[in-house]
Amino acid sequence: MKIERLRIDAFGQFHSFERELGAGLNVFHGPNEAGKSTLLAFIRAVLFGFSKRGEPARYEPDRGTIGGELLVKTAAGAFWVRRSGSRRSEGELLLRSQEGERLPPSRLNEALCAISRELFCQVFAFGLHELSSFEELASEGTVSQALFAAGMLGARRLPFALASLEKTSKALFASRGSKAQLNSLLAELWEVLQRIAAIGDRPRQYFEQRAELDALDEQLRIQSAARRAVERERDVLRELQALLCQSAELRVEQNALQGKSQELEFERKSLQRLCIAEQDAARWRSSLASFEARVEQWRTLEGRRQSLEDKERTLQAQLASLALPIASTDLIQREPESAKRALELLGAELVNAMQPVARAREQCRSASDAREASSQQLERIRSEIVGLPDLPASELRRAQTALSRLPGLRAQGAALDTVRQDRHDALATLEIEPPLPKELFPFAWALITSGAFLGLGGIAAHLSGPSLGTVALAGSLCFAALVLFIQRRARRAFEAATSDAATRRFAQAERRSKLLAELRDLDHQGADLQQRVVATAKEAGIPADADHRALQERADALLSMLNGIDARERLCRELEKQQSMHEQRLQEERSRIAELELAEQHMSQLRASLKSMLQAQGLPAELSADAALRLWAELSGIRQAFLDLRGNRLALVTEEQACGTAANSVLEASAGAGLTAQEPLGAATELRALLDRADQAAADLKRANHLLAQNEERASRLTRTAGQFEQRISKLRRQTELDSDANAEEQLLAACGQRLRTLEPQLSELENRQRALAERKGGIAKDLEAWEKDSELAQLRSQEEFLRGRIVDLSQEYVVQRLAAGLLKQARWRHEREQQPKVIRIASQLFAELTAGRYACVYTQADAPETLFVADAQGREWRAEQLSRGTREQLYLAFRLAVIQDFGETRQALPVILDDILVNFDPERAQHAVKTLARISKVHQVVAFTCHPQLRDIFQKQGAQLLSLSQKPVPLLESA
Amino acid sequence: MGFKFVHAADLHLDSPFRGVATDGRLWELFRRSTLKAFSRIVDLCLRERAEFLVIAGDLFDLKDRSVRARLALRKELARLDAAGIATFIVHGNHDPLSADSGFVGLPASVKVFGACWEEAQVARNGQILCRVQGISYPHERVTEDLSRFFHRQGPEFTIGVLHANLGRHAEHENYAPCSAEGLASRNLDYWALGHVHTRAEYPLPGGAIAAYPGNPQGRHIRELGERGCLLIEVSEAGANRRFFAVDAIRWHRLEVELSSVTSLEGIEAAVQEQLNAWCDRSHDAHVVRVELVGRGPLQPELTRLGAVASLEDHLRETLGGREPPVVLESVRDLSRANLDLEAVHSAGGLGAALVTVAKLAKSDRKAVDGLWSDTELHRLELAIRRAALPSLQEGGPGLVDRALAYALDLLQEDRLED
Repeated sequence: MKIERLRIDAFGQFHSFERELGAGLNVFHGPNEAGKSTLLAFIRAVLFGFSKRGEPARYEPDRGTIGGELLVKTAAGAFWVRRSGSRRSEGELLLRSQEGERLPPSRLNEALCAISRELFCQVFAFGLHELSSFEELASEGTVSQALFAAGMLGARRLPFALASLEKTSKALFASRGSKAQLNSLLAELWEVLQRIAAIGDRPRQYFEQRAELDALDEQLRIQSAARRAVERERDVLRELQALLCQSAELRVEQNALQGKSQELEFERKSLQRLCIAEQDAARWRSSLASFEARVEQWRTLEGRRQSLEDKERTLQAQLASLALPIASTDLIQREPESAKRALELLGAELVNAMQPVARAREQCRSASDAREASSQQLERIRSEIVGLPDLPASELRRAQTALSRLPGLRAQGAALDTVRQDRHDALATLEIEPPLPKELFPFAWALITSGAFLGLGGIAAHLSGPSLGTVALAGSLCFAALVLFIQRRARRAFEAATSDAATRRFAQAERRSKLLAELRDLDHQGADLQQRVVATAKEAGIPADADHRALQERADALLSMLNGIDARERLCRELEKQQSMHEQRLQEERSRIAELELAEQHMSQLRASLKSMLQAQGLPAELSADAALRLWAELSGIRQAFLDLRGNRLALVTEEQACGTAANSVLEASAGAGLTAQEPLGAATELRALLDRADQAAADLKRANHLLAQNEERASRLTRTAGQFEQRISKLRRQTELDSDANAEEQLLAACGQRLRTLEPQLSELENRQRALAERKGGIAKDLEAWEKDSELAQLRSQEEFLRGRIVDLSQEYVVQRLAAGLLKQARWRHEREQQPKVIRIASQLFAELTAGRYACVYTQADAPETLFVADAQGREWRAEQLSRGTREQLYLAFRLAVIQDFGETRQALPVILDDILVNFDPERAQHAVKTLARISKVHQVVAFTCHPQLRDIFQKQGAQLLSLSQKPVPLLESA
Repeated sequence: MGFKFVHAADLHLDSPFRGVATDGRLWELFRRSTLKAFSRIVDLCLRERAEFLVIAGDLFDLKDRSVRARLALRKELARLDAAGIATFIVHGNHDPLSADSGFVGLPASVKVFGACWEEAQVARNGQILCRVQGISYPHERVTEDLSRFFHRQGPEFTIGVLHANLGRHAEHENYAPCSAEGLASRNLDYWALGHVHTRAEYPLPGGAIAAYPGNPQGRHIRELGERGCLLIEVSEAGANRRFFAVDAIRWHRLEVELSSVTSLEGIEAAVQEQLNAWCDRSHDAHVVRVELVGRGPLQPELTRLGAVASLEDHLRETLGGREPPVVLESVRDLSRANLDLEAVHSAGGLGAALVTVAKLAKSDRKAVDGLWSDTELHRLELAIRRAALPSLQEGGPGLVDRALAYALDLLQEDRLED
């Protein structure tokens, strides 16, 4: 694309400006402010839109509507691109062919190869400002992309990608360390493998153990058989041994039994000698039993006889001590029970008769006391009545009422007096009338003062001439008028005060007349009240002017009189009641006295009966009933004791006879048994001993007979057992391998013991061996059972497989990441070597051209494309920042021209517009730069702006079309 | 005379799962799955009244050292023996004869082929019904073509039982390598193969069939879908094959297209939807891997460090309550693989350089070595070899592609900074 013509309607300082551009190198020359930058901005604005309103880069014209157009030539033909101001800030784009036909806006986009405004401004149409900054250029996404001709696509994320890979792969595996996933999994797998290896070949172990188990079973079977054989022999020997021992014991027992039988026989014979004939024994035993039954009685007979005699003597003494004329024989003959019952009945009647007498006496005494008390009460009431007043109560009550009203009436009078005093005081204050106001500034005084001012004014006018006089007169008139005005205001205030005072005086007169009327009413009320006080005082029975104390005393006297009258009335009623009661009590006293006399008479009759009864029984007649009863009871006790004594004496005689018979019988028996005892007790004792010995001998004889029979039976049984033993011994002996010569039992027993001693250790060894085999078998069986389930190994294998799977997965992931990192590094190396140099090479050549071979090479690094490096002719590397400003601008220009050239080659040639970019170049390098631009302009249209004549000349030397700009751009018509 | 037999291989009894955590309540369920699958094979034999069962190697894994596997084998074969069903077994690379310390008394009806070619005959009513030939691996690494020892001995239906890599499958060790032509030249009727865990059938020239039934229970994410054994019905018309799934736990790979989701909840919903469609109730459990593919609005968020891991945790927690249980193996973000490399190359710049370098790394040995000459990678390689894990370079060019995608993704301008 090339710009053939530019036409400005209005843009910045340009109005109706038009220029035609050459296809190759063009240079605009003009002084400062001639509008070079404005033209650069115009071209940018037409192609990409105006800047926003208000921004300096918009170049808003001072008059007319902003806008203009460019005639561009593309491979598809030439057309006008028009941009004019509109409501939108970027303006309205209009494309039309040279024939005026309207074209779609996309034509412009196609012509510009869809590059962005930023790219165009940074690479194709730039000024010194843009040139000096490569970083800004590189940081623009689209520019950056374009700079590297899309060759660095994706490289921006290369550092991130490599860092990410490093991070994630290290998390998976680290050659040193144990935290990475693969490291820990491998360690875990290694541990599992070692545990599996430690377990070993389980099936081999299983089958070996199984075979061993079978062998153990066989061994156990053999061992069991051997043990059973030995045990059998041991059991036979033990039995034989036991039998031999038992046989020997049997013989000893038989011998012992025989000896014992002989002893028993001897004992039996000696016992038979001690026994007595049964008839004799029975007879003696009967005599002995009858005596023994009486022996205790026999021993006490003497003592009892003595005691009966003592008791009779005591009873006789008791009877004598009563001093009654009664002998013991008489006493025994009497009938004591009937006399006692009669005496008791009489005593009870006496007691019963005493109670009514006492009760009658008591009632009589209480009736007399009641009658006495009633008389005293009557006397007391009568004496009380004598001292009490005897007046009518109604009069006293009226006087009491009047007395209670009197203080209220007096209080009303006092209140009336107070009101009347208040009215009098108010009347006295109303006697004084309010004063009338005085006029402070009378009219006359005002007239005089005004006249004085006017006069003074006239005098002043007269003395000071016409002009000052006029002023003086005017001043005096003003003063006079002021005085009159003040007097008028004072008058108005005076009149208002006077009116107020008159109103107050009228109100005061009305009030006084009202008060006088009220005072008259009060006087009338006071007179009425005084009359009522006098009447009431009279009724109360006191003087009208009596003071408060007199009133109180009168009230108390009235009250006490009223109380006395009430008491008199009450006592009179009580006297009547007491008199009737006194009569009743007199009557009662008389009836009680009659009852008492009857009771005392019955009492004396009973006492006479008692006296006659006592005399009949031989007792003292003066005894009371109770004493007679007690005496009678004592006599009865003595009589009963005499009766008992007589009975005891009879019983003693009977017992003495029976005891004598039993003693004789015992003595006879003793003599029959050949005993020598002469007195019954000794004979009985000896006879008892004889009989006991005979009994013991009989019992012993019986036991000896029984034992003898038992011995005989045991001896026969032992004989049978000995025969059985002999048979069993001979049978067992045949079963053993004992020496056949050892016929004697002792020898056989010794041979058994010896054989058993050899068998015991043999058996113990067999048992131990069998136990060991069983334990081994149990252990193997347990192992086999566990291995048949194989949980541990299966778990480990399962774990191993899981770990293997996980490790394979993760290691593949790790490999992928490491390979990805390797691929990225290789790609970067390749990219830096093979693709980037396409732009870098051009830039290197151009930079070498511009610096006349001072620098040989330009390059960037893929992971930091925004940083440019250069190498000088000696191969030394420099960062762009390390170069001087001019050289740096030459480097950036070379880079831009390289991109432009690459863009032209790969896409399309676009015009290049340069705004005074060579100002920092030295003349030689400026010349080289223009030469390079001239070369580029063969493909790309180049439009340069400069204000420097020498640069203009250099451009011209290189065949540039010169376009001049004056300081004030000349309008189109004017220039034409 | 027609008959039926069942062809199974690669039982790997009591062998652990890969990629599923070893702890937790489901462990015993997972552990039992291989045994259960084999038990179902035996059930099939009994149900279908098969004449015999053929197991083409890898009955268990030597490195598992499992007694339980051997006992389970004995128990299940005893069931067949009781029903009068014979079993023919060859040993493969995982259970070679050399390292086997012996069975615990297999029933009499079980024929285990030795290290030299052998033939056994199956007779019915005194007549030979079919001939079964086989060779066991004497040791783990058998690199010669064992099929050359097989040859027809009679006119009866003849079966070759062999643990071999037919067609040199890259995913499996290239043991006993053989070709379809080589097998066809042995003139047998049916090749009961084992070793390759994915079910496959190869019609051989001359009308014979070579078949891999696949392993009866998938144990890792590369063993997806239904797993089981083949029931072969031999008749005059030929050998008709029917597949029966016997797996107790099934593996699934669920793809979530990122362009169709706008939120993490959307991913969860998409996963649940697929689970509802794929995870039936006839299995004891399901294991799933969720792969995020395509490009969408969520991608910048997912590229954050730890975002996928937290999504995985969230999904694992969400799926925990399903019945039957669903175990999440992992969540994989494969969305980077969708870049248009041609477009990147033509766009130029560092991206183009990256694509060029990656291309070179896949073709030029020197470039490959340059890429792998990373000290850290070398150290990891040493550590990996020490644990007897596969070499890092076994991933091959695929790793370079992933690395390229990863690097390009990192250079994306719209990528969020971590």
